[in-house]
Amino acid sequence: MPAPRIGSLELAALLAVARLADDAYGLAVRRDLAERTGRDHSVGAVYTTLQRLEDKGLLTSRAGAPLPVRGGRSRRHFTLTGAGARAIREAERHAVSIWAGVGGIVRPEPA
Amino acid sequence: MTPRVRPAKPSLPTVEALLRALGADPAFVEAVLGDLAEECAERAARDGVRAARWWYVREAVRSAPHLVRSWRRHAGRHQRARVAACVALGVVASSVAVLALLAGAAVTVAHPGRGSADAVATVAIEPENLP
Repeated sequence: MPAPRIGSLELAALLAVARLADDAYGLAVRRDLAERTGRDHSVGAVYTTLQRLEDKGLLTSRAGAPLPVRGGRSRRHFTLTGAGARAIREAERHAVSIWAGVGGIVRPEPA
Repeated sequence: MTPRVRPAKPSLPTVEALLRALGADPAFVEAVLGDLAEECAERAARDGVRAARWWYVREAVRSAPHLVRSWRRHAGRHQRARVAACVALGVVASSVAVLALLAGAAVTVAHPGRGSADAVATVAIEPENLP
């Protein structure tokens, strides 16, 4: 079965979930994305992206325990699925493939 | 002195009620509002309550288009029909209100001091005073 197509924000969110492992919930993913991409994505944008990835079967989620700091609401923790891991590998292969042969052109030659 | 931390509780029920009325997934609403509350509390402790509230409002506004798109993707036929009916009712009510305001303004301009639709009719049928 071919891997579902994913956009750049979806790939960044998948990678953030993979990096954060057990601590991958919305706010942590949002902070990781801000740190690595330099863009401040809204809470809504991050959650709709995570929800889309879940719909595509690349992530699963479960609710944690309710926390006082969240007004008694629970965190939704995300986990990478096998299909999600395959999608990351596929995206990496694709990136390596399209970058092949241009290194010397776009990067300055070492002195 | 430790800054007084007051979570943005007054705004949360309103946003939650709106999202639930739109038929958003309850788990999704819980997660989004929980994240907003958690970061709002952190910002209140760090930057002050006023700054945290501004951040909350700004974040809610920035998130709205994404939440609407998500809702459109996941909403069932009945939920879409309910929201479409509410929007249509709102448009009709606004149009009626605007027309009523315009009509009132026209009467005031045509016949100051006699602010009724009858006044316009009366002005229209009065004979002109020829020289």
